[in-house]
Amino acid sequence: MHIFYLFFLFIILFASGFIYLLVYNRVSRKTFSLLLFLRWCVLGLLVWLMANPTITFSLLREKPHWINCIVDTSQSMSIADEHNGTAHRIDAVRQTLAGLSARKDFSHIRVFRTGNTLSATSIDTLSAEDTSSPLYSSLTDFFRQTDESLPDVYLFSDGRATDKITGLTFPSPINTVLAGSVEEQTDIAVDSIDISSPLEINQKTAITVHVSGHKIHPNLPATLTLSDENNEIIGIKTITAPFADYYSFSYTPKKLGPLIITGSISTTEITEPYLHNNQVQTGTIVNKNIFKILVAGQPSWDMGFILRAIASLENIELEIYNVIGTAKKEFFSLSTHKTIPSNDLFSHLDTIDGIIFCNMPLAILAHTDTQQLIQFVTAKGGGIFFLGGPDTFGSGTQSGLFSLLPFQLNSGDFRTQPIKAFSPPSIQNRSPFSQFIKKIDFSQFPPLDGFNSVDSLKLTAEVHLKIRTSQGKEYPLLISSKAGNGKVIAFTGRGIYKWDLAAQNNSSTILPLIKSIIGWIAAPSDDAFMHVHLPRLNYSLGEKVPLQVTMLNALYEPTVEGTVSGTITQPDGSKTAAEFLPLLDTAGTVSYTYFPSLPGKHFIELEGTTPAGEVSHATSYCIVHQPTEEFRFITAQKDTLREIAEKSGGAFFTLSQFEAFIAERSASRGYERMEITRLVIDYPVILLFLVGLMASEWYIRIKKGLS
Amino acid sequence: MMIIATVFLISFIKLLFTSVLYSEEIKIYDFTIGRIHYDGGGDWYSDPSSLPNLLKAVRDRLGLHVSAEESVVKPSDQTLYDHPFLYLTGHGNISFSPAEVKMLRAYFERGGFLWADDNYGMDESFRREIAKVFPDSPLVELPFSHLIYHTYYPFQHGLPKIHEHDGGPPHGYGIFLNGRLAVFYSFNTDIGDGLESEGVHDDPPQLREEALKMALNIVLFSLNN
Repeated sequence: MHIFYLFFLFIILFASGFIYLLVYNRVSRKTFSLLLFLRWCVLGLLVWLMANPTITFSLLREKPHWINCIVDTSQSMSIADEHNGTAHRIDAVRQTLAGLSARKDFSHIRVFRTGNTLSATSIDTLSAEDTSSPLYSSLTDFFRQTDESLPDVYLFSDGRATDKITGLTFPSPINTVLAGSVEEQTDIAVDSIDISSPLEINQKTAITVHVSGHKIHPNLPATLTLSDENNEIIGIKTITAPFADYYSFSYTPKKLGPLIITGSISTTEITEPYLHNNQVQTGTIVNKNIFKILVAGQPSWDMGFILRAIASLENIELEIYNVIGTAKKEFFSLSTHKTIPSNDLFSHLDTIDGIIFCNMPLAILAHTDTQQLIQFVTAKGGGIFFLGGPDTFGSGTQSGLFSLLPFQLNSGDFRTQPIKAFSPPSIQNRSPFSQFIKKIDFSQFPPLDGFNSVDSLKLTAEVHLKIRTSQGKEYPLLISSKAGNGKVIAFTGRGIYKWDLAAQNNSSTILPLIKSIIGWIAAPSDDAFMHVHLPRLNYSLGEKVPLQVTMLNALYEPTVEGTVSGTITQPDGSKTAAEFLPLLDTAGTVSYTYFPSLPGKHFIELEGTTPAGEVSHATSYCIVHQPTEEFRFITAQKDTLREIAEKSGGAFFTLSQFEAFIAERSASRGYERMEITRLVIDYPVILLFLVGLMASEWYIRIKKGLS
Repeated sequence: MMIIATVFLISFIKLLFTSVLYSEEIKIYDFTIGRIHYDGGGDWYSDPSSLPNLLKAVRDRLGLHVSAEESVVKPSDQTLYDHPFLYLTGHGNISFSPAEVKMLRAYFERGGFLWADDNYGMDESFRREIAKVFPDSPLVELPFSHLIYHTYYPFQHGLPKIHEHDGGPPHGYGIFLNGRLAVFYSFNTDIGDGLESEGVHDDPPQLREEALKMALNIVLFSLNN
């Protein structure tokens, strides 16, 4: 104890003894002595505790037996060997380690994964995704990070090291465990499949396949097969040595949608193409589909007119849903001929550019449906074209889509009466379809059958057409507005089909207007008169990125007019100017081939200018990855692992040998003596003792009539 | 008493005001049928209960607003353009005048649709007359995979055979204008007979149901194309 505490203790004891002398005459000598003793004990204990006294004792306990497992997590560990069943190498290792950790005597397992830098991980999260196998540098990192004695170090790998052993010393023995088959794996590979996506439906296109060959016997011909996602063969060739070459296939897509082409090599020795000599390429088959439009609503003449107008557009892919049946709760698809609930219909809006609702009963939409539609417009930048009718808009703020609509309606807002449309001369707007409105003499058109009476417009609304009732009152007829990133346009009249059917020479006037409106809602931004084609999102470093841009006119159809320029920002912030050149075989499309020099995300910003001086902007991006050699020379390399084991004084196992070795071995139990030091105050008994002393003193004082 | 009188007075004024304000109110329909009243002597009016029955089914099964009766239009009437869906049937001769041919041609070019249903005996004259309207677009037999056979109710083998006249399978023909099916011609089946009320032609219930389903397919097809 520190001298200060002894001095303090002495002072306290003296002072308390002195004070107690003052009451000496009131109790017996025996009681006085007892009280003084108890008080001195309490004070002495408190002063002692203030000095943070400790108690030290020693224990004998079992020493934990740590097993250190370093697992090769390069991509080649995802290979399923021909002669090893269907298990992938990494799965076999994971299974072995799981069995090991399940044993009580081997429960202390540390797992590390190789990679660019060694890192600790767990058995469950082991995955083969690293693009290289730096085994030696991983071992160096391992011994650098730990200085304790390591009796049990195991390296699980297929031995395909991508670095060299030069100058490496091993402070502890390393046991190596081979994952994968040492029997020769035929590693002829399809290097790449080059397709220019999107592919045009029913149009012949060329597919170029690059093949590399290594261990196929020169006299043994191999078969190169291309198949689609349904495993239907779309091209087959017999190739002979030297195998490494480019091979061309001709392919005519017959159905719209995503295309997944798998290229594989087989020989007479390899009857089934196995996993990693394949190469997969994805693309999209389109029907000149610059835009994808979803049309839904109650079938009517107006809907038929809109669909005929869309049919005259070549660059639009269409999905049609009818709300039919007396319940009117579901959507009937005219392409699949199946009825689907609304939540299924609106859950795939990511692939849709624009929606047309034709007298769509909004009341049947659930809250989640309206939220998805609002998200589609405001966040994704999609567009909705509402066609009028008694059910189209809902009423007032009761409509779930009120936040999107450019106006507010009152209840009972639909009026059936003949009304004529007119273009108000005082209203100026710069929407792309305005130029078509100006060309139409609406007085020649027959009256509409009815309209939704709009009494109040939102501030952002633009009125393009109006109607005038026989009482002379005017109402908005064609109203548009922005909503977040997207657009909404509403035609509040009913009977627009008459403008097509009952008027002469109207095809040259009304159809272009409808086309332009549909293009406007589907275009990604307000002024985007261009469409960016990027074959796919992911590329390997060194691979070219073919970028194509199609300029559109006011009808949103491809046009050869206009210029496109662009800037590509690399991951390090440096910028590359993209100079586009006309694509000879595709009118209206210009192209630029970009060679990324860095891995990461590359942002593409484009600017298009029409001859009239209108400027459009569009953005896109691609992701560039480090190339990998992990699927070449895929045979497991036992010599590498054997060399590491021998040089470090460890042992070499295959996975099955390792499991047998562990099964026969019991973990060596060791014990160690540990000294444990704890503060006295950490023991509750001290506090109890203190309370006991104070309570005893208190009891005696009460009993003797002392205060 | 005064209160009741006031209520009646207000109601009367409101009724009067409404009738004045909406004096031009018209009925709007999602779908109607215009039956072609052609010249030439054929019974254009045959199967009188067929179209009201079809319209009732359109209302009951598809949930659309439809009129109870069909309209009758002559090809020379301007009201032709108010009827995007035309129906033509009969047993006898059909004849279109040059003016009617011109009107019909314009009608189809503007998006109109015609369903011609051979009621037995009109095939020759219909082919002759429709060829005047479409001299460059012949009637072609539609494949069973065509959407008109699958729009709502699936008919894997094309048109159903409803009423037996001369034997042989039914045929569905079409005329395409700019890629759009403008005319659908059902031959050797007599869908119209099947649409008639029970007991008129003694068609069995299942065949009448088939006829109704096929007719609904044609209606829905026309509203979506």
